[in-house]
Amino acid sequence: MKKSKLTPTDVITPVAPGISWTAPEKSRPWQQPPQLTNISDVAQRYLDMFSNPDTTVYTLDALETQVPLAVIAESIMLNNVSEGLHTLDAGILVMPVIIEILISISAAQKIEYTIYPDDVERQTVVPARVARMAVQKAMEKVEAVVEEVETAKPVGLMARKQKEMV
Amino acid sequence: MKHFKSYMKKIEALISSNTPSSAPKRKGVGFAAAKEKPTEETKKEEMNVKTIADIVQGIREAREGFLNEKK
Repeated sequence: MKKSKLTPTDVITPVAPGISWTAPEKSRPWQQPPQLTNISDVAQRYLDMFSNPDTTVYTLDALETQVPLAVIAESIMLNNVSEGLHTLDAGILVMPVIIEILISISAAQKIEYTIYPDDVERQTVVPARVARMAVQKAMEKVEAVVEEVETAKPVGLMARKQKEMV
Repeated sequence: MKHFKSYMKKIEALISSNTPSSAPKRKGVGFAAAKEKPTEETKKEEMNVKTIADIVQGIREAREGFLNEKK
């Protein structure tokens, strides 16, 4: 996996419309015939890629961000498409292999993972019934704290002495 | 991602059944049977999917073996 040469400023700099048409024809890697056309060769390349220790370090960094594995796999695949390694179709076909490798790395390193972005949404979205109960409990706690504060006697040096009720 | 999920389901089905997905579901004669007959391109696609399913299965087995050894 190569490090991106883009700086943060490059990312936010606006790109003029139609700039992609200004490059000479077939000058980009993705406009050339792909280096690998056989599916098993593409899968083998990914297996070799992930067995490289340098790549594993970057992969672990990505996995620890808790980004879904399908998203990481897609970005790796698209990166290789842009470098002209294989076609987009071959990349989509091979994505299960990349996901399976990522699952293996996560399992070996005991990193929690989610496979699809929908799973993350399912985890983070709280059902309305649960949310209502949580709010009710929180309100009860707040009321209890307010009562405690009201009943507590002032103990500071500057606190006024309360008249004792006889 | 929705289409990719259905593709993953297909691979899961292939792994669990280990039967060729291009196998005809029912036999017939005449035009209907000819229509169902997979073309060369479809056969190639099915072969590619089967290759991927085999590789995924291999990785899973290797992972399970590694995790069992670790225990």
